[in-house]
Amino acid sequence: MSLTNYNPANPLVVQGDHTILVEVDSPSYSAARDQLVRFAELVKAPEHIHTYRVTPLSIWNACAAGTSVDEITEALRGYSKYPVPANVETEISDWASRYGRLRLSRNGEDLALEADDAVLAEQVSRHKAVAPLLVERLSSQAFRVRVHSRGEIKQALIKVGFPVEDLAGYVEGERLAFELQAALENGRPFELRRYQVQAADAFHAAGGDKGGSGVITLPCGAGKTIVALACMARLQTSTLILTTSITASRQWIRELLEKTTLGEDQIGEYSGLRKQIRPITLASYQIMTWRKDRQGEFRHMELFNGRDWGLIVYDEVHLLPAPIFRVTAGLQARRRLGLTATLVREDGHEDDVFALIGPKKADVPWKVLEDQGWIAKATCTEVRIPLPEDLRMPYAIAERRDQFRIAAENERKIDVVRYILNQHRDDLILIIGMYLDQLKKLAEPLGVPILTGQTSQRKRDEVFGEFREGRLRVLVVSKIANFAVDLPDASVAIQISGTFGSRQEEAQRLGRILRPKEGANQAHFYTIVTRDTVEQDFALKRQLFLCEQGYNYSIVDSEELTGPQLVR
Amino acid sequence: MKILEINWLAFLADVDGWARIPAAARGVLATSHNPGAEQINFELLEHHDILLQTNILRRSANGKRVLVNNDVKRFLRVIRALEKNKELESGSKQVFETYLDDYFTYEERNSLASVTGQWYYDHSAIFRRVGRIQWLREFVDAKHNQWVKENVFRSYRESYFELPEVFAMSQRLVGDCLGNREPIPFQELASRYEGCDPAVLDTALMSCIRYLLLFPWLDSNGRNAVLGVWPGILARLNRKPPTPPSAVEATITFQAPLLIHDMTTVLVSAGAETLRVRTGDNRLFAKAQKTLEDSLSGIPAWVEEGFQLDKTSRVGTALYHVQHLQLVQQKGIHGKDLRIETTKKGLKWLELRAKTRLQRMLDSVREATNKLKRSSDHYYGAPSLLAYQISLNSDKLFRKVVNAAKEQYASLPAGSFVNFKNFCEYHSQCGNPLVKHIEAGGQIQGTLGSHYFYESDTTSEELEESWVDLLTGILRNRLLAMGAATIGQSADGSFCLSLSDAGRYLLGLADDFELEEAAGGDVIVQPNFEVVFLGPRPLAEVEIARFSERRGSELGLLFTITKKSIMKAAAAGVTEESVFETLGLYCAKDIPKNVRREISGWFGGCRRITVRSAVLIRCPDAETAVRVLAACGGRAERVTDTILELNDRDRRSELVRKLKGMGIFA
Repeated sequence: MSLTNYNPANPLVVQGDHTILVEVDSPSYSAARDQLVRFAELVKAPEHIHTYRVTPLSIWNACAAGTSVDEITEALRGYSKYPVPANVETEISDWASRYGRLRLSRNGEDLALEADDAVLAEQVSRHKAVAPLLVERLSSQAFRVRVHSRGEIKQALIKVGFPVEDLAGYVEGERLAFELQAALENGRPFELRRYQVQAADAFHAAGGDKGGSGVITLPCGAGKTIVALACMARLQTSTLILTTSITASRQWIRELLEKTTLGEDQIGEYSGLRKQIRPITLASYQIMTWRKDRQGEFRHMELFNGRDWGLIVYDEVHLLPAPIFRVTAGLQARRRLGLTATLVREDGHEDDVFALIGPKKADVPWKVLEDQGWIAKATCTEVRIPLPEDLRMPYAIAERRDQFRIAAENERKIDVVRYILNQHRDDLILIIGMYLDQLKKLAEPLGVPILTGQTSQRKRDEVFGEFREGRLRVLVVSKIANFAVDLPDASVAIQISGTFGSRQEEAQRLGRILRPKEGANQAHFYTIVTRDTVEQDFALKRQLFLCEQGYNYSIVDSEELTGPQLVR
Repeated sequence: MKILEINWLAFLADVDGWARIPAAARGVLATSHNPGAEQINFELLEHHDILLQTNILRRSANGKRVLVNNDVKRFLRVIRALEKNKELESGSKQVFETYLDDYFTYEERNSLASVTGQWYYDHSAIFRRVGRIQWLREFVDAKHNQWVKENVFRSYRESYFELPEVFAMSQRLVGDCLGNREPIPFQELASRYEGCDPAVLDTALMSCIRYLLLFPWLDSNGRNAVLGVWPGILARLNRKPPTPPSAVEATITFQAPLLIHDMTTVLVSAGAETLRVRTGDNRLFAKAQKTLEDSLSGIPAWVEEGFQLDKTSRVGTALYHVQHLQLVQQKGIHGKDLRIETTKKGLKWLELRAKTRLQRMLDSVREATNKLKRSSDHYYGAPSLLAYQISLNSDKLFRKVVNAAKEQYASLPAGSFVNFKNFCEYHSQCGNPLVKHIEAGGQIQGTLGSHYFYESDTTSEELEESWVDLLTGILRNRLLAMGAATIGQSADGSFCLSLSDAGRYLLGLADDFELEEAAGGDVIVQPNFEVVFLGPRPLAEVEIARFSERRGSELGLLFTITKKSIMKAAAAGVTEESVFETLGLYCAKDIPKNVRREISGWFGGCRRITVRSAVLIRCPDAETAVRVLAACGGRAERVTDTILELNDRDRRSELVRKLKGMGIFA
């Protein structure tokens, strides 16, 4: 088929299913991408063609950021190779038309929900999820809503397809004066990167009602914590920071102490060990959602009322558990900042993030940051080794799950690990695995420490500290290092076994080594798998994921990597 | 109301009033108003003055309301029937058949067919007869007794045409309608035939309608009740001489050797999966049919709809061709395990390059076309250019048909499009060898697709229609299917076509051809194994479809290369080299190293084994096995120390006897 209105030089192919393919090698790729990130979500970014998707949420995020539907359609038409499918344009304009038609504002002690017209007001008031939250009709277009229903009504309205613009403002919270440091302890100057400043400005919105709640989307290693610190410094208010683990909380504390003028007495850790509630308090999702039994109360949720918080920071907001969502619905008068590398939630509750935390305020593609040197370039290498002759029969007759374990624990992996360690003598290296026996067998002969779930928190902090300071060059870790462990100078990761085909695990593990490095700014991610086994099949899923994230992925046989002498 | 039950005298009395009311009111009464109802549609209110004047409406007893006059209800029923007949204006065979079904009983239709020489009810035969001018002219010139003897339907018991004055009146009516070249409004009939006996006119009208000489309907423009000869005849009488097809512009085009694509898809599927066949009718089971349909490449909707190329028919055509070329064969037992499998020839065919595959098909069509004699069998013979079932009584005429069809397509101007309807009309009237044959005094006997010709009963209308069908069949089933023509749509939605390079080769205008690919975007293999089409590339699409899983059609993400798809391709005989060659040929970027590596690995893991039944001899110990092996005399092989395989099954009984003699009992 040929079409007369075909513009081959343009980079976009807009498809009827709302996906948009972007040709990376097109001269106008960067310009088109900069337009796209405003109103579409990046789905995958393999080498040549990236895929974005337009959804109601992505359009509402765009509308919340002030992008008009005309700008969206112009961008699509202007950069598209083929005519934009009519259904896509119609739906975009329909979705966009729904944003901002309802507004929530202060009305004395309560709130007022105001609609653009009486018909819409009537329509939403008749919805069974919305009706109970409307206390009184103020006019043909407005209703009174109780303050404590602010989150609930926002959730309900987004479910019926009419996201409300929240202009009801925030409480100021307890004042806390502090500044960002101008230089770090080691004397190096500390200043925010341009994209970090822009993200913080977008969130703060000069202190107006349009800002103060939202989500910052930055790739792993791009300094989301720093953006949060900048937001906190602009607001000058007491802050509750929720993280994924104690280790992550402690990393935050280190960052706060190092990069701000806050003192230790102003920062509290709320955990199983300590229950400090200070102007800046850090707690993990686990402690907040802990309860004695399934019917018990979430006792630690009281922390939300422990102080007059002016800001609540949700780290890794895509992992936010449901009970925290529920509490957050009641905290809509407080400013809220979500941090994440991806807006995509496994449970599909992206709309709750939009309604309860806020719209996307900043999104910088990782490729831009990589090109600018703000995150390390990563090379992924899958090393395939043979299954030893003596394991072939046990493998052949084993159940599939056992086959995976036999392949994953292949002892020949140790030879390859040694070889890689030898090749990266000047780098800090993490060896990551799933099976403790395997990790121990590996750590002992190499004489390197091993951190697992059984290791005490104190020991963990101590070993991570030594690694960060460069006194330890190699560290063997189990799944505990998957999340939010900041080891900025680690540049090589060797994955010797993983949780079958888990993509999230792969991303998290790779994220450990993406902090920018001095010099070549290059990170290496090795995965060692046993050839022609189920482990290789699972590795394929991980391979696909990394390729879709845009990383270079190469496959080598161990013989090619190490030479035949190492292959027993 | 049945058209044959109409009292035409009464109708003629009222029709004058009908002609006087505004067209809008006629439209409402003919379409929206229930003829039996007294209440009027509100749309009629604005015309109520004239409707009252013409007695179509009356005032109610108290004078406050206007109602439909009871006397007019029957007239309106006739109007409703004539409104239904306005479809006749198209003059198509389909409309004619509906008309017959609606107004004639089975016996009446049988009688009508019997006059045509058919002793069974046959719409086509009736249409052939009444749709030609000759039939009317013969009637107008006929002598009463002779015509009645030859034409009055034997099972009709009515006395139509028995009276000479009725027959004469009918001849006059038909002659006038024919001479008028337009249908005659009913209100003119009274003045036109003033002085005629109304009863004779009524009977003549009824007779003409009954014998399909004349047709009544409401014209679609003004809803006037009119009487005329079959509208197809009027169109023919009024048509202008056709002009040679001239260049037009296509706004959208399509060209791809679809048939080759579909055959490839069928072969790949038959090589990798079990395509089960129903015993009853030798057709594929629904699951197999769906598997094939899902694997076919997508084509634009306007091509699919315009040329009836739905996936079911595409699978059927592809299957016919692969079976005919013995690229697949049916295996298994009737009623148990009947299936289609790719043959060795089919596997080899898959290894060929796309152009070679197409060239072989084109060559076979060329050869079959050259060998054609007197008949071309669309269903069972070697596929020729005609793509049509044709059988004629004369070799010479048959050759003329073949050559004319070939020459007409060969005459298409290179590089530009012509309107297809214009092309067909021109050649069916000006280059139709069948018409020329008749005009030269020849006779035609035989079949041409769905058209049957008899020496005594062949009309130029049908010859023209059959020629259009022949040209259309060639375009749909050969030129379009083999990428030999590029088809397009003009701005007004009409189809146009131009001959492609492959088409010139097929018609003998060129010695070789380049496999053309419509201008399209790049094809890119991504590191995550996705194959993305940045523009439509039908040829690349089908080639890559051989070894990948389909995800979309036409544009965007079309395929993913998976381990399963490679295994399926390998089973169908696709080699690793051919996969890389195809990707190298069509892809704009290098194949990512990880993709290359995995594909090689998957192919490397493939092995072909042989499964067969064997006679195994199990021995209690190795010593016995040696004795049995010796007894077999080279007709057995050792499988293990104690198990032997007998190579020659037929010697089994003989061996058992021999072993018995040795004290070894089986």
